Amino acid sequence: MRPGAVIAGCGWKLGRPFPDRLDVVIRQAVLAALAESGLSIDDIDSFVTVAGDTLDGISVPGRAEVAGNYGRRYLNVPSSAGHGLGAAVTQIEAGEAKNLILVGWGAATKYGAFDPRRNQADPFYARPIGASPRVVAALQANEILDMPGMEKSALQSYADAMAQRAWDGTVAPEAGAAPAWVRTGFCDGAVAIVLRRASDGKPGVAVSDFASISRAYSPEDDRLDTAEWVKEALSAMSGRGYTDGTEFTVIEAAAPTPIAEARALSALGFASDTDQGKFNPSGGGATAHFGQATALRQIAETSRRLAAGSKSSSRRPSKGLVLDLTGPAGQHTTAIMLQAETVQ
Amino acid sequence: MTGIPGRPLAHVLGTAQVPMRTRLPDYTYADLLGRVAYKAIADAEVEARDVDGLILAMSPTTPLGLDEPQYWGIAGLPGAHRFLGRVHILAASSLAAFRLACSYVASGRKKRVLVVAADLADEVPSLTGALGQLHDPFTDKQVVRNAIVSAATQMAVYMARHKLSERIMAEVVVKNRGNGVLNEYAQLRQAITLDDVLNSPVMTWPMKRLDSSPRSSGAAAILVGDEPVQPSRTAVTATGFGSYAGGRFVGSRMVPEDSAYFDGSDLAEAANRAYATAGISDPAEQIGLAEVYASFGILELLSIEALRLNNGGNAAELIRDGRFHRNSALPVNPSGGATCGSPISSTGLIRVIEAVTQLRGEAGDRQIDVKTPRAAVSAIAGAFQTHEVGILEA
Repeated sequence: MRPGAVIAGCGWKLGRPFPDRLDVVIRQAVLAALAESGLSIDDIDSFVTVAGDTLDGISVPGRAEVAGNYGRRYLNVPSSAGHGLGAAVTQIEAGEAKNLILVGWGAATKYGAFDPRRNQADPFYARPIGASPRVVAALQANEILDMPGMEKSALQSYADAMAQRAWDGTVAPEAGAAPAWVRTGFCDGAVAIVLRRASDGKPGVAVSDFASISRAYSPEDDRLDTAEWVKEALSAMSGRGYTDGTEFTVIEAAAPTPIAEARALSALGFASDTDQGKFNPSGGGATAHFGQATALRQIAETSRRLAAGSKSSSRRPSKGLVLDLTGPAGQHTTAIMLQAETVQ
Repeated sequence: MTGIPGRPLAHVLGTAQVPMRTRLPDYTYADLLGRVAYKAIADAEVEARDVDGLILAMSPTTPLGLDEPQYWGIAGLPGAHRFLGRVHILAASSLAAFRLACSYVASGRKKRVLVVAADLADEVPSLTGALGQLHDPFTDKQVVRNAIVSAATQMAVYMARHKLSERIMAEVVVKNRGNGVLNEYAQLRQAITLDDVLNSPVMTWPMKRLDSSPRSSGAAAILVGDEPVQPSRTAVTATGFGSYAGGRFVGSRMVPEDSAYFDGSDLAEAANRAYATAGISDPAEQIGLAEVYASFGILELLSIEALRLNNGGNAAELIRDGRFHRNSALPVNPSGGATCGSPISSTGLIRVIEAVTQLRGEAGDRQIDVKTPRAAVSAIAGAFQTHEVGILEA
């Protein structure tokens, strides 16, 4: 039986844009996570960063040190928060790391004004084809709109509600030509999560399972249905079949657009008119999106909710599910199951 | 420390690479990935459907001219539906990705993980220029320093510290270029002399053009798994890894309290972690060959010493005296190393592949006499900043 990994502490910050420099905010997030974990930086033996190519302007060794990593093991897994979490948990399970900081960030507010990611490529010619992430999202929205329950009015309500939650009602949804449900709400973000080996008996939120599934830029089946990807990821978790979501007390999703996110949640029974706060209490990732690391906030927020719930009840462990859909269409999908370890 | 002492992390099941060239005009990036990916699983004699994890090593994307290859480059690769992420730590990317693949196997989460990497260095007019755009996040300015200047500084200090001539410093590249003659995958396959090196153009004193690696395109893939699948083939196992993230500022590592930039002590820390896991106490005796990342000759000298393969003495003079040559007790870079070809993302995997091939006795014309069936591999990212060391055993 491999030793599991436990989330011991989290810290995060969002901004539109950050009032401070990115490196300052990253350090604040790391220090907040350490404080919550009860560990010191001297207890940490490994770092994993989720730091993309175009969102910070920081060199790779700089990324390690900005996060506080000097002299420790290091991995940078920029492709998604789910991949970063997988790398972190796997190292703990393999016995390579004991206490690890997973930290990701992105200064994506600038994408709201100008998104330079025009280099989406044709895999056969490896040349840009002029398709920006926005074009990909529009193609996906077109497909999803034909699906049951994906009415435009409900999606508009969903997008508005998520933006209000993500920004505590203080930030108005961005104005723009495209409907809110197909727009990405870019922001700046930094999230740090302290993970430790589960075998030391201290309370925490266990990463009880996770699984990633992926499609390349052009899915072989021509489908861009995030609900199908979520079902596949859930089925890929160790020895588990597809779940309808009833076993979870909280479910969070982070996708590039509200429509992709709502469709992903529909795989677990979500309908915007019956949402009682179980789905996306954080506001999700589409309206507070800072690149590939975005879902780290959903992981952190879910962990904190589960930890708070375990303190208030000693009878029933709470389970949470985080769905990370990263990429122009969310085609790198990771399902992460979290479970509070009950305080006796 | 990486891994649980005494427990193999993962078995190397299959490997593949393509000949390194300045340009590979007949391939797209996706073509290259597919070519080595399917060659690797064919080498292992497993089916594509048996691969349950895929990791892409890609760094940086600047030479490729296209961003975020994890969204399009993995199309159709074995294990693509179970993609585990892209690893991006500059020239340490693929050795770190190999480490992560072994972690997935050691954790029991995956049975067979494929690691792929490819580089097309001909998509930008000046690779040196592109890689020279180092950025300081605090001053928010470009740093007037690139990899060549950084390595030349190390070289000058090494020469002064050991009172060495430029001629002795050239011995390491002459050794490696001689090894590269026998390597069908090497980009530079002509032997050179000390005079050739000394007479080549000075890039930044004392660094000459022939002290440096060429601009390279290439690709490599390795399949790792939880158990060997070819009973008749020599099994090679990853038994330990060490990783060490050094400081960002070169200047901060040039002071008496921290001279890691000049003495390789950060790489030594990574090596110590790998040795602890693999149960190695006397690396000069317990290691039979090494493939170290050295895009400049000076990096090999510092790596030999940091890995404690030298038993005292400076590596430059030891190489002059015949140590670490292909017919010695402990050959270093029998492939010719990165000075015979250095595709940045793939170079770590290429180091592993050479070590595995030699340990199996499958290196053909370039086969060395492996006296101790254990190899060390290493990679360095950035300006001698982030370090990876791995141990492989037959």
